[in-house]
Amino acid sequence: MKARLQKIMKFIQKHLHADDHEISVYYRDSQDTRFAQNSITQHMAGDSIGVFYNCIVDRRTGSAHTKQIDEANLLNIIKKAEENARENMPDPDIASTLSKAEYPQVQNYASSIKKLTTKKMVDIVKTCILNAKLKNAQLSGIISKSTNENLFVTGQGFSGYTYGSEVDLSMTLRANHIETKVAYSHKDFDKLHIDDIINQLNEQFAALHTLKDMDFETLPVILRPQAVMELFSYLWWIYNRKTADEGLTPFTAQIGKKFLGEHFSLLSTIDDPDLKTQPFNNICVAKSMNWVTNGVINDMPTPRDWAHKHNLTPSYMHNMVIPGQGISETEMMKKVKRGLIINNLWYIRINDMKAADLTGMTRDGVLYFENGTVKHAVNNFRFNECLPEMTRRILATGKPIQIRSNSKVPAMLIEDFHFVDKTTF
Amino acid sequence: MKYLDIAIDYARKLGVDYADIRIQKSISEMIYLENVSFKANNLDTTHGYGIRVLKNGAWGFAHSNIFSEDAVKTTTKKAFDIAKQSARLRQGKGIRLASEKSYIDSYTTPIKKDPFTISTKEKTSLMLETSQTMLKYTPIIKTVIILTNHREEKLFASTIGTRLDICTSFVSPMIMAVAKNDTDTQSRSFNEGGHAVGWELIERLNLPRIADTVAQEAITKVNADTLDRENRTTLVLDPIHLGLTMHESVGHPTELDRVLGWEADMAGVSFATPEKLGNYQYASKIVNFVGDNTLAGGLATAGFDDDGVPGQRWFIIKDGVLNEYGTTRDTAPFIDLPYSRGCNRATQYFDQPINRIPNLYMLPGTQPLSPAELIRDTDSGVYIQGQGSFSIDQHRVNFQFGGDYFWEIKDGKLWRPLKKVLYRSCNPEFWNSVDAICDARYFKPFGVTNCGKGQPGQVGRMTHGASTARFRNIRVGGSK
Repeated sequence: MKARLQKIMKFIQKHLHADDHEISVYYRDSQDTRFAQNSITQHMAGDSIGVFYNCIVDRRTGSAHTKQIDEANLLNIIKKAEENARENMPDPDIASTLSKAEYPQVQNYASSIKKLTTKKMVDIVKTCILNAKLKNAQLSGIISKSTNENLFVTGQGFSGYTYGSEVDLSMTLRANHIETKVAYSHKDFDKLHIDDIINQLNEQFAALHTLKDMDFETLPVILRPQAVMELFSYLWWIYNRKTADEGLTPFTAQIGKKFLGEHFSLLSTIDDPDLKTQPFNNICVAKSMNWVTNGVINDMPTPRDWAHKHNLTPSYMHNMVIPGQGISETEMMKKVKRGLIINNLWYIRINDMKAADLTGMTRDGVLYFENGTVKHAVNNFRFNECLPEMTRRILATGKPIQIRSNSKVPAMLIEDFHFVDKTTF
Repeated sequence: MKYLDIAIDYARKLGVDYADIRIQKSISEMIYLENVSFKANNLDTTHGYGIRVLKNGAWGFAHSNIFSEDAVKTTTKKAFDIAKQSARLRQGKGIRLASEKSYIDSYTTPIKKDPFTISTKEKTSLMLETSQTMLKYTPIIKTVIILTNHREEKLFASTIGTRLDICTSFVSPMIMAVAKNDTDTQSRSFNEGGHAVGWELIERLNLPRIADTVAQEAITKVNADTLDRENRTTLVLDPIHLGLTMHESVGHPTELDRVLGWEADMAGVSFATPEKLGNYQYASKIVNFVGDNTLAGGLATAGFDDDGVPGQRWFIIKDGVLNEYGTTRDTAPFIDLPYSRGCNRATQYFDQPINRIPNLYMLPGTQPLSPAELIRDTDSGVYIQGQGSFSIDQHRVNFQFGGDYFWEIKDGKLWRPLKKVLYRSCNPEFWNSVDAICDARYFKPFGVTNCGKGQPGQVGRMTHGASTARFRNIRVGGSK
């Protein structure tokens, strides 16, 4: 496929007339098997090639994207993007495209994905459904596989090629009042251990049998890694040099300061062989970054145009690692008198950007513990929390677990978590 | 288009129980202006086809953007093979389709002025003028203006003989201003979503005039007070705000696929289960919600859905009682409904269609009542305009909403501006607390262009609408 992408790239390069440009020619092949109520409800497969063309003409920008790959249409999108640029207003903040640069040779592809045939995907679903039926439960979820390739060049001489694979398995098991979920993704199908995932689902399911009603209050929580992932994924939205400098977030003027909690660190790495990383994009090439160290903000992802305008170094969060102390859940429970263990969070939204005040719900199982022991399951709750302030209440962290192909996060024990409402289930 | 016949003839030859092909070309223009810097001026074109095959009670779906006889046949065979594999895990009879007639028909969104014929220069000049209108106010530190124009061309054929030629369009302008004072930054937006009309909407709106109001209100908002303690009080909610609340708390819970548990792993399920049909008091008696895929200007108005079912109008909540769901040909038989309401839609050619919210709106009140009169009739409470934070549980019961612009109501008057207001409620408490709805003169649509659903995610479109309404005894407070 690389040769085909190169041919398309050369065709575009031959016909463009811009002062500067970025071209991305990409390929994606995917298959998704969705299941619900112990049956397959959707099953989709296909591949496509796409092209992004961004151009600069006389400090004016224009762009076009297409998934219609014939020469006439490619010529048309070049023409349209350049016409858009010519008719556009000059951009006072414009930055030139990425210059020639070496980028990290990361391994985002694992050939094990070839084992995942249509039959194999259905077989995996069958195994999972049989497990659900043994519990008189209903299973819903998805198993997905995809491969992708991307060729990226700029008018300033950068040229990069990356390819990758991804397998996702997500399952929700439901019976009576019990509803619980596990979800993992990995670049390497061989490292997505299906039996372990089923076992985790079963353990979560078994723990939820005795449900008691509980009112909301402020109390300690142990967020399991999936919940930590959901919550801190919001950093991808709000942890940004530009919006901080603009005064839109709480991170304004906090670089170099201990603004976050002692037990919170955040990094992106190109050195972890299990983690996928995007080795380059139109901002810069990836490098390992210690964004936050023990609460001290070292750096923030910085868009290319903002970096250019303010003489900063551009950067992006190409993957996410929150280091942990390796403290077990049992040890965490002993550190506080009582609290909740939360499997997952969901529907997190920003209440107030300036405070990084978030709301969201618990989901997929909440357990009440007291004196170091889990007592029973409880209903779901709503929380409102200011993320920076909450990190200062982290009492302990576990061992980082790879939840997504590009993220590793630990469980966290957090004091005084602000619940503001409860559900009826 | 010969590829329609190739796919359908070949599907029949393979022995499918049902098949359809949807050739879809989507063209979208998005111009993004931040202060005086155009961050994006993009034209997006996707063109390809998706083939859906039902065999032995299971779906198979395959897509491609290679247009040749071989590619179409290969894609059809891929869908067929996938369906056969999926059928190994069929429960009972598996997927069945509600009966439907065949149609040979076409539909085009009525527009007066095609936005794609308007020059980029005219669009960017208007946007720049709009932005500069706001930037003249010193406290305004940031503006964002996004203009989206979209056209979708679909050719559809199925093995029951349906042939459709559909072209839909919409335009969507959005304006935002961020104001700053010594301690805070707050934004105010003009965002009524997408409208299935042409450039005439933009000409009618007068964006610079709107922007001037947006900027002034952003400044008012950043300097406003907050509500610290949560209290039960009255809410008066404007139509744009209600567009989001009805989307989340009425639209999604009444999608039949969610009710059936098909979205349990991702978007969740629904409390509005089938035994509640016809007897569940979802809302107060003055509340009526209508599903209407014939609504003029509606984003889900396309003549037919992606099952080839014509657009219809029906009551989802009638006199406050849960009446019916939004359904598709493959969901309706699971609750023994003999027909579909035509809610199956895919976003792009490479998406398998899923059960979507129709155009869904709350009928206006039947007695003459204006928002000003409604506020005059309210002793105390909060008036919320526009949309803010929104979050709801996976059963669609418990929710929390913010808003964009807030006034405290005291003695029938807008007493003082507020910011960071949040309210919490649940179904069925919230809609049962409605005690007044303004009349049809004040009805306003809100077009959702970004409804996320499905795995892999799809972005659906539909229009909501309401007149300003009053809700009693709701928990209202402020964020930190």
